Amino acid sequence: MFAHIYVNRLKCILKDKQIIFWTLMFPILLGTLFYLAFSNLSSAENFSRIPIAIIDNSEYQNSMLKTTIAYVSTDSGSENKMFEVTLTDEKGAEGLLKDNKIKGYILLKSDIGIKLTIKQSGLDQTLIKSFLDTFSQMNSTFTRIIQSDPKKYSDPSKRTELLKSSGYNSSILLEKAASKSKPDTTVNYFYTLIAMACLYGGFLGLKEIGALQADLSPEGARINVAPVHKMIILLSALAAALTVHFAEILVVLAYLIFVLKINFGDQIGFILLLSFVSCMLGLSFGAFVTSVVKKREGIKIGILTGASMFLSFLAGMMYVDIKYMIIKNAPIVGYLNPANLITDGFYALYFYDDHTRFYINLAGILIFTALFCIGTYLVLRRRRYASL
Amino acid sequence: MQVFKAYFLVIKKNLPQMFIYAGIFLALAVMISSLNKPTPAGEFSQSKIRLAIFNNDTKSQITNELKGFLSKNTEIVLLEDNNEKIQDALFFRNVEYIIRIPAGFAESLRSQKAMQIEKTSVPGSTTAIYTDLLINNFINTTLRYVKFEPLISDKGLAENVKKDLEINTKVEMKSFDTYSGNTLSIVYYFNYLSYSLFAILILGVSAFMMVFNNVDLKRRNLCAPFSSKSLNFQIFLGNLVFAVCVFVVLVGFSFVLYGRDMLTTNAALMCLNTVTFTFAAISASFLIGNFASPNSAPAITNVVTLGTCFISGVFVPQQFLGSTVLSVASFTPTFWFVKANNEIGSMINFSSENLFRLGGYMVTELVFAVLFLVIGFFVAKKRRVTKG
Amino acid sequence: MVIRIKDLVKKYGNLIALDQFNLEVNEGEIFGLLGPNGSGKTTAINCILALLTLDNGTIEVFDKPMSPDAYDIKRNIGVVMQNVAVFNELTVYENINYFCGLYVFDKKERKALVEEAIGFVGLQEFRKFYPKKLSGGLLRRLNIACGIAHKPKLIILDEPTVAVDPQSRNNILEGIVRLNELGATIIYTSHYMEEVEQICSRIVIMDKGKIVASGTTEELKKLVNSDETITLNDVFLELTGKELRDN
Repeated sequence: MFAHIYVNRLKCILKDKQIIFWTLMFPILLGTLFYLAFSNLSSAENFSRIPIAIIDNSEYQNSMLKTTIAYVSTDSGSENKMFEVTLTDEKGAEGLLKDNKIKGYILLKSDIGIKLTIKQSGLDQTLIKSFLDTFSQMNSTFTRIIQSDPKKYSDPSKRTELLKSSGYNSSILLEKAASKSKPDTTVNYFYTLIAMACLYGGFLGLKEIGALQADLSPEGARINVAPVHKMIILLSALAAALTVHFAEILVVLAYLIFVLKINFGDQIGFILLLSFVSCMLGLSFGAFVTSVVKKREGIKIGILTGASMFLSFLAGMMYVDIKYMIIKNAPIVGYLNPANLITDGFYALYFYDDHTRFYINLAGILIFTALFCIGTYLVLRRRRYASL
Repeated sequence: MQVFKAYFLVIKKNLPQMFIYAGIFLALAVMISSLNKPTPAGEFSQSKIRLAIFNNDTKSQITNELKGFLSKNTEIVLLEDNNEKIQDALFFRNVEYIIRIPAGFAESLRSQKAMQIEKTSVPGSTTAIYTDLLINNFINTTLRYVKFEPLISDKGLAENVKKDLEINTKVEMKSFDTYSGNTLSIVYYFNYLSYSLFAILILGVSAFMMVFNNVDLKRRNLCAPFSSKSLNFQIFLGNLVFAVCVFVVLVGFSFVLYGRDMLTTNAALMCLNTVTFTFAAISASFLIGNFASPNSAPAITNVVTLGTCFISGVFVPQQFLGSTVLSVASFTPTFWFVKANNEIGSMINFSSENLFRLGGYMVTELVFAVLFLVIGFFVAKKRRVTKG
Repeated sequence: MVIRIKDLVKKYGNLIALDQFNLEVNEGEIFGLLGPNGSGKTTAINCILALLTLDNGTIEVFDKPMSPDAYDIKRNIGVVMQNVAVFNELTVYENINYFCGLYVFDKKERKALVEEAIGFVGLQEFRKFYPKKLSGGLLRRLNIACGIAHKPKLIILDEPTVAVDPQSRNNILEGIVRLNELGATIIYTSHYMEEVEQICSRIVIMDKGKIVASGTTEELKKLVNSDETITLNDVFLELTGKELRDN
């Protein structure tokens, strides 16, 4: 009996194009979109030159600043092209700034030193400032060094040697991973995508419960008059749904890992376990909503879609900072969000060396699944209906 | 005006789903606006990264100085030197940058063969780049002194470096009158709005078109005693009123959220931009409604809206998207909408040149509107003929 | 006694759907259940099938109390619902096979029964078709096949010929009579008086949750007017009134 129902429900699900689209094609499409959108991000230390203006005056023309800037701007032949420089007067510079043609302009005057004028804070402005800071600081260092032994540095060759050292800028920092994988923000987007795909399994739960509740479909009524225990029907139907859903998620995972080359870490066994449990979560969620919400199908679909999207969004699907904002301000929300539990479960496998965090998330997912299952059972076990 | 009335009955039926989209969007908008807190006008803000320092070197003046220097420019976080705790902190973004000063570091500096400092940071963080610069600068300044004043004492070295690095370029923030600090947030809001607006419009319009194109109804309508001209006019009117309502709700909420900050030329231009986009969106919805079926409509809605929004720079800013992606995106009205918004957001000089360019973008959106309308009518006519 | 209903009361909130409803169906009968919209026909059937909660009264089927767990009773009941109850994603054959499989475990036996059922309703050429491709009449025949494939002793048909073309309808009616000849007790509800008149041995007319009249066609005609030649339709309208009933 179990096998009979299982096989037939399997056929029904696999032939349902709509459901297969939502639970399989849609995550793949979305994943591809994410990939296209982010592909440039990681390789995007695409450093483009910062446009700046410098107010042309005699002080500037005779300064070291001019030489140094020339060295790092587009006119020079060197590699480090950091700036695109326009020489103009104050009014012109102000106009360019107003018009967003430059990020900032520099004024060098003997009584005030170097002044940078900008419009808003940002990375580019920070970099301009830090360049100027470094310049001024180096100047100060040289001055101090010269002053420490004026006699020595009255010799021009010694001065040249000193100034040459301004080119000496080693990088002292060695990047070390805190764990076997680097902390990464873009993978989070893909993990939330898997979470959403798992939650979309709710549609399968909706379909199966609908097909066996007499008050939800005529086929359900037919099944209720048959001499089969409802639990058997329920379990075999859900088993069929779980089989399909898990297979789909495996396909999505395979696509993400092997085609889009997203890093999930290498703990295959745990990844599979987490995926399986998450599928159960999505399925039981859908079954629960279907049994408990006593409105027409359209509303249930709306709730499932809305909830999946919203929960995934809170887990950082469109904007990863939302996730951290929640962690900082209302961490409990993070633990109560099934999508977040799934996402963090994957991230824990990717990032951590041990499994504590992973097990915490897994436990959370199992608790939710159990709650949804129990809720569904309590509603469904009633064999008679008040009305059909 | 029967058809007109029927239009809104159909819309009413689909209201729950539309509310879900609108609701998610508005919740999103509120959260994102609270994340992007405007920088107080007139201040150059350098957001401080959360940094943890593990010093494995003996106490020396220079490492103390390094720590002191870093504490002025970052937010020092005290962290237990335990691998799990470190991973946890990085995971929850309690710390974003960790450096480990190796044993014998100070010594190595003095012998001009600087050892490397291990660093772990969250990639993609712009402040991390700046912190890299700070640390390198500190070390290199120290090395300069050591090279050219080898006899300098530890104390003198620390002091000199400190004094040098205290030098800070003067920064002037120019605030041009109409510029409001919240403008960036408002740009995000309007960009996201394109997603919600588009989704709701497709939902509503295609729902109506599907009901209307339903063969039986069509037959009845074609036999009814009013002209197809009146029919089309009522449909057009229905679409228009619906679009206006959605527009008013979504844009109106921005006034609730941002209040007086909306009373700028920038915001006004964004509203105008939204109007032209709405035309394009409604025409696209009309086109889609002519070939969607109740089964495929949700799928098409999501793929079209999410897809176009992703590649057009709604979720991931345009500056980070690859050039191929952007070229493809330029065939959607969303792309031009977002592009215009971004430029409006930072515009201060409303010169004729700038306005002309913006006008070009908006006209492009209208061209899309006309295009979709024409194709839509063509598809509708063909359907009428073939499906009878 | 195949069905014995005693003092059945069923309420939907304040609305009384079945009011002290009593019914007896004998073995071998083709029993017609008639009534205007909202009279309680479908409710009565759903109660017999133990789908609905009862407010009062008892129901016995095959001389045993009926309940959702009474599998031995259920095994001998076949249902053809008002709404076509088949899965769109399964073919004609697969549908019949699925529902029959809930009653008959043995694969070989089931296969034979399914083939027989397909033949019985005349859907041999359509075995591999999906429900979406079937016309109204064919769908109804499929619906029937799904309900009777397991050769139940009691068959309940709730308006099985709605929107069906004359050929299919005739085929269905003939089939029902044949099933009865083969030993099944039939309960048949319909709005089509000619059908009921044609095949039912005993008829019960319901209104507002109560039985208004019962007996053979002849007995019912006598109840109203013994002189003119009247149809069952006239009897019906006479007993239940000509005003419109909305559900």
